[in-house]
Amino acid sequence: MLDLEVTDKLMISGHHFCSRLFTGTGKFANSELMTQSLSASASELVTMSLKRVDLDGQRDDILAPLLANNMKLLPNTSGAKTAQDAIFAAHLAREALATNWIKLEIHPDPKYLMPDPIETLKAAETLVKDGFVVLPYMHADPVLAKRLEEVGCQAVMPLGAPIGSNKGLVSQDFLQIIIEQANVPVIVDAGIGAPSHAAYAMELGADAVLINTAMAVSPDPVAMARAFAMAVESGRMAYLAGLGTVGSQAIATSPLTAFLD
Amino acid sequence: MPSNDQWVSVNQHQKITIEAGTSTLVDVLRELEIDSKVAVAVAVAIDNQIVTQSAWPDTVLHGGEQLSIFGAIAGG
Repeated sequence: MLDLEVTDKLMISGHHFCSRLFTGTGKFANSELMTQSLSASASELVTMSLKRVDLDGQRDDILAPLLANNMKLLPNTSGAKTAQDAIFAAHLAREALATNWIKLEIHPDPKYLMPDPIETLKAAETLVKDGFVVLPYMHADPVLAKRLEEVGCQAVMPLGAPIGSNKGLVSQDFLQIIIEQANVPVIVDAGIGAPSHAAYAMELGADAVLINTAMAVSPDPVAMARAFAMAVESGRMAYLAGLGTVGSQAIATSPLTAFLD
Repeated sequence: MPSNDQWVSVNQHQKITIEAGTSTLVDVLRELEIDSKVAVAVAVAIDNQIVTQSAWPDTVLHGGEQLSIFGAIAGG
């Protein structure tokens, strides 16, 4: 029996992950539900954001339960509209969370949250030079994926569909090209709305997926987290096992000799 | 007698009184009740320059500075 936890670890910048399901911490109804869901997901890497502290409001400590569960933190640069913003946010995150890992995301347009490729490439180049492990959120653009890899990004995070849209792998054909050409891990981020989408991404050969909305907004996020964990493992196992060829004609699975011959 | 009291602004809208040339960043953070426990996940910039946590006690304020205090929140 193939034991993926033992035999098939994902490595990013020298760090091993048994789980290929990465998770976000946004949109959960409360931090207890978040903690339970992330625990059910068995995820080992979680994203978070940085924001100016609300000096009057309540300070909800989301970090303590994550650190208690030994999770690797991946702060993002959400809110950055330019490379300059993102570089500043990355340095703040490094200072606040004592990690040099950064999910680089620059999306100036609030309607579709499409990542700005030019600013992202610029910021990635600088952040790599500044000693960051850069995981850029990007459109499913194979050329950009190569460029980001060339400037030293340790993984690429192409979108399946717009953030939070739950549409699935709208960008499938281009994800496949990225996966085929990449020399760094490909993490499908954004748009995955169902465990079947996640399984499909893994079957295509993605190295990991990042899920947030689909889990957090489910009426039962803990069960959904578990469902995603199973889907990711299943998809990965299927990819490693090797899928059959897709054809347009039938190929019999039983002998076609006449029944009574 | 002239007062040494000055202001620094915090996160763009709040103002904190300091003793110019004497108050440090740590003093201001203490006043804001951002204690060392919370400070594990906090980053501070003065006039858009990040001040590393080890330098907080030696960072003397003179008044007129803009402090930005950032913390980790949930996000995807």
